[in-house]
Amino acid sequence: MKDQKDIVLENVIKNFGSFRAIKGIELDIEHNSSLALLGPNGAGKTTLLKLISGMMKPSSGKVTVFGLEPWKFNKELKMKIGVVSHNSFLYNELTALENLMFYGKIYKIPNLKDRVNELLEQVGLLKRKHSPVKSFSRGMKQRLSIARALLNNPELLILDEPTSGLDIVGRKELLNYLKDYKKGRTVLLATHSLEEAKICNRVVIILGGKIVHTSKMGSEIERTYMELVGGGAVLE
Amino acid sequence: MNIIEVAKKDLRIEFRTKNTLNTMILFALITSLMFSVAIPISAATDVAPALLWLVFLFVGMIGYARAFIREVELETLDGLKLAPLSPTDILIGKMCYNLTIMLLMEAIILPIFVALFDLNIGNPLLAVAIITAGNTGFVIVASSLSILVLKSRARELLMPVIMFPIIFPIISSTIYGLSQSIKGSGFEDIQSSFVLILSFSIVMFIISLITSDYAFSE
Repeated sequence: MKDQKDIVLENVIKNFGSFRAIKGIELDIEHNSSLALLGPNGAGKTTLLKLISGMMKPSSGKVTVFGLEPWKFNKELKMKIGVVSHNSFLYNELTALENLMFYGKIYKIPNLKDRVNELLEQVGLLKRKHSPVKSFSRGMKQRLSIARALLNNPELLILDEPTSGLDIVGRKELLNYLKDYKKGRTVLLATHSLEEAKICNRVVIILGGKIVHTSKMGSEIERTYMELVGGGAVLE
Repeated sequence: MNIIEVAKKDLRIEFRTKNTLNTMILFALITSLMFSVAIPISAATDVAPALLWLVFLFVGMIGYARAFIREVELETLDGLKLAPLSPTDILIGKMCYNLTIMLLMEAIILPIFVALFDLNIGNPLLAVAIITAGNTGFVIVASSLSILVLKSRARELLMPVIMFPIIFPIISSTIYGLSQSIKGSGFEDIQSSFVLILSFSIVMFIISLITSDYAFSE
């Protein structure tokens, strides 16, 4: 199981009209490992995550997740993935409870009410479960979005800037939670924060739609990142 | 059943906000009233079927495409795409939601329209049946086409342009069937209208199932 690759990207290209957002990325992520996708805004992190989560189809190349192409609909594959994005995917007019119950029913979660209450407790929203999401702050929406992504207890958790909108306490709590949660799971985290990236055991620096650095997480990553990004790396 | 969950979720949101419903009802009442004032009672029986269908058509244009467009505007469609829901689950769920709204609108508009025009319908059961069949076909076509325009920036402007020519067979068959039922004809007289509406709706439904994968992919 150790050498099993949960995610494999082979020469993946994604174009938006004439703009090439992803330029031939080769990457693989082992089973039960955590990888941080580090890069500045506009580097292509979100597009890459969308390709891996199946929200987008690559223009060329191949993306496989658990051996399957994620853009082709596969129920079993979707059941294994959880995504936290910039966008909460929540319905503002519904309450926190109704949102999680809706997604939970689709995932066919057993003992759904207990699971929903447990997650709401974990993200500190149990007391607000009957409040409509439109009354939530950005941080509360983000916490509810995390609860939504964890509903199905995913084997692969994809996080795109998960701490955006959270205050310092909320951010710290989430990172601590993720440190525990990633044990026995595969986690893919896109961030521009070195502090957040440090919860992962491997790091990939992406710039201008290309991978420019891959290594194990270590103390030298800060210097490398500053050299590549802060040092004025060329964005093609 | 995922389809039912999608439809239930949409109905819950709609009945809570009443954004689309209120607009649809208000629009239907205003147009019905305007038509009834503008058309002389003596001509009512001849033109009422076409005018009634016009009301349904305009009201449907306001409402049916919104089911998908709202998900795109609020960026919740991606959440549905990430969930274990097939594109057909989403599509049929939206159709079920639209059908429920359509039946509700029919129940509200029809008696008001008949009263305003003082219509004496010869075969009321058949009239309701043909209107329901026509509206069902309309919902299927509108829902199918709305997923195809999702990627366009001018989607709400594009919808009527591509929909009116496509929906013409349903419009003409429903108007003919409704005219005959007002005159008191039996089912056998308008059987061909039902067959045309049904077969056209089935073809459009199958096309939408085939194209749904493409329509939801980026």
